[in-house]
Amino acid sequence: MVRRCINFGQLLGTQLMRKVSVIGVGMIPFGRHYGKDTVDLAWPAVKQALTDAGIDRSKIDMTFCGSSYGGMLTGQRILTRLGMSGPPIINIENACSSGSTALFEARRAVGNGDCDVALVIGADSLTQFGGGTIPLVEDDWEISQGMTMPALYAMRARRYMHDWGVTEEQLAKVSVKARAHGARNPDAQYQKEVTLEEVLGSRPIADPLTLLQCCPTGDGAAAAIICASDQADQYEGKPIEILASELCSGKFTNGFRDMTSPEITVRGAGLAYEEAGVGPGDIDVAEVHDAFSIAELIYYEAFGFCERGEAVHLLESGATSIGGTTVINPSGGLLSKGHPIGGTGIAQVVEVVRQLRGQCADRQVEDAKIGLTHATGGGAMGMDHGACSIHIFSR
Amino acid sequence: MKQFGSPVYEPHIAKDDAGSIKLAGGCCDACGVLSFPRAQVCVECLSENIKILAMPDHGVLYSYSIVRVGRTRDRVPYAVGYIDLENGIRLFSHFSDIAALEVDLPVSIKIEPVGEAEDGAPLYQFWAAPRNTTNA
Repeated sequence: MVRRCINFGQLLGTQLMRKVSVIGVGMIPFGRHYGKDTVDLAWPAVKQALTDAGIDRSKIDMTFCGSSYGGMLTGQRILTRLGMSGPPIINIENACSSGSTALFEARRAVGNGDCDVALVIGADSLTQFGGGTIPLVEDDWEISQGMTMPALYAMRARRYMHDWGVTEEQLAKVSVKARAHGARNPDAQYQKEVTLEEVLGSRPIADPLTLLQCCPTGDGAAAAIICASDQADQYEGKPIEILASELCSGKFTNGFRDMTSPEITVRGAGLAYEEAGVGPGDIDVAEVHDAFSIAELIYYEAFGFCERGEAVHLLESGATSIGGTTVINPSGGLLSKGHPIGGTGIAQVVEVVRQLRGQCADRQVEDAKIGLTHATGGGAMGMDHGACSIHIFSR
Repeated sequence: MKQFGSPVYEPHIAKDDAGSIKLAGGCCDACGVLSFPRAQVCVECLSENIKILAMPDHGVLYSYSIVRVGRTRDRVPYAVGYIDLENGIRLFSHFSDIAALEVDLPVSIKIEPVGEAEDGAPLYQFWAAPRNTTNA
C-alpha cells in the first residue's frame, strides 16, 4: 500500500461541502512560439476550454491563473482579450506547480460553495529568455553558487544509479519511452521517436543527463473549467470528477536528505490517495513531473507504482508504456510534450481528462477510469522542491 | 586562478580556534541548531541569537554532477555536488578535481582569498577536492 511519511499536511478536500468536476479543457500545441507573449499563448487555450465545456463565458464566476514568468496581472491580461474582465481573477506563482496550484485553489472555491464555475489557466513563455537553463531566484545561496535545475536532477540521478546499480543506458530508456508517446500527441513539442543511441549520444547537459533527457525550452498554455458536479449536466462537456486535490510545500532541512525519494511527493501522494480513497494499483493513467529522465523513475517509486529500486524494472516491463497496466505520461510527458512552467500542471489535466473521456486516438489508454496528475518543482535550498500538487480524477 | 562559483564575502568566512580560515555557519545560542549559511533566525526556536560557527573542512560527497550547460553567463564545465559535513550540515560546493569524483568520496573544503570587491571588502572562494590530495 501507500508508504506514508509524517503527515505535515491536511486532507483539505475532505472538508469540502460538495464534489467538483472538470467540464472543459483546452491547450495550444506546446513548442517554440517565437514572438508570442504569455497572453498570446493563453487566450486560445481558454477559448478552446469554453467551447469544449459548451459554456457561455458569462458563467465563469472566478478565474485562477498560474504562471511563473508571465508578469504582473497575467490572468487579467489574458481575459481582457476575451472580453471576460470583471469577476475576480487570482494570479498564482508556485514554480512548476503554478498551474496545478491554480486548480487546487479553484477546486476549493467551487467545493466550498464560494462559486459555481471557475476557470483555471496555466501559461508561460520560456523562449523569451533566449536559451540556457531557466532563471532562478538568485538570493538562494545554492543558486547564487551555480545550482541549476539540470544539476539538481543530475545529482539525483547520480545517487540513484549508485544506490541501485542503474546504468546510463537504463536511465536513457525513460526518454525513449517518452518520445514514443509524444510521437502520438499532436500537442507535443517533440513528435518524433528517438533511439537509445540518440538519447545517449545527444549533447551532455549535466552529467549523467544528456540533452534528450531534459525537458525542452518551450512555450505553452492550457485551461480547464470546473464546476460543482451536481451542475455539470447543464453543460456539454463530459464531466470528469476531481477525487483528490493536494498541495504540499517542501520540508526544509539543512542536513541529510535522501535525494532518491523526494519526501514532498511521497507525502503528497499519500494524502491524495487517502482523499480519493484509491491506491496506486487503481491508477490507470498518470501524468507525472518528468522534467528529467531520472524524475520519472523516482516518481514511480514515490507514488508506489513499484517498490524502492524497482523503477527500471517497471519501465522495462512495459507496464508504464501505452498498452501497459499503469500508463505513465501518455502525452509524452514534460520530456516530449514540453514544460512551459505554469502551463504544465493544467496541460497534465487536459491529457488526463481526455484520456478518461476516451478522446486520445492512438495514444488512448484502454478503458482508463482513474487518472492522476503531479506537478512539482522549484529549486529552493534545503527542500526536495518548493511545491508539489497532486490531483486524482475519475470518470 | 580558476574560479569556483561566485566569490563569497567575509560574513561567510570565519577562523577556527587554531586560527585557520573556514566557512562560517551558525549555531543557535538558545537551542544549538546549526545552520549554513549562518541563519538570521533559528528555524527551530526562532531565536535571533545565532553565533558564528566555523564549519568543518571534511565531509563525504553525497552526489555530484558536471555541469556542461549552465546559465548563459556561466563558464562550463564545472563540477558541483552536495557534501555531508562532519557536523551534519549539507554543503553545496564546487569541485576542483572533476575526473576524480565519485559518490561517497571523502572530500576536503579549501578556501582562499580572491581579491577585493568594489567597496574594498575582501572576497574569498571555496571549493572541495578529494581528501589527501593537494590539487586545487
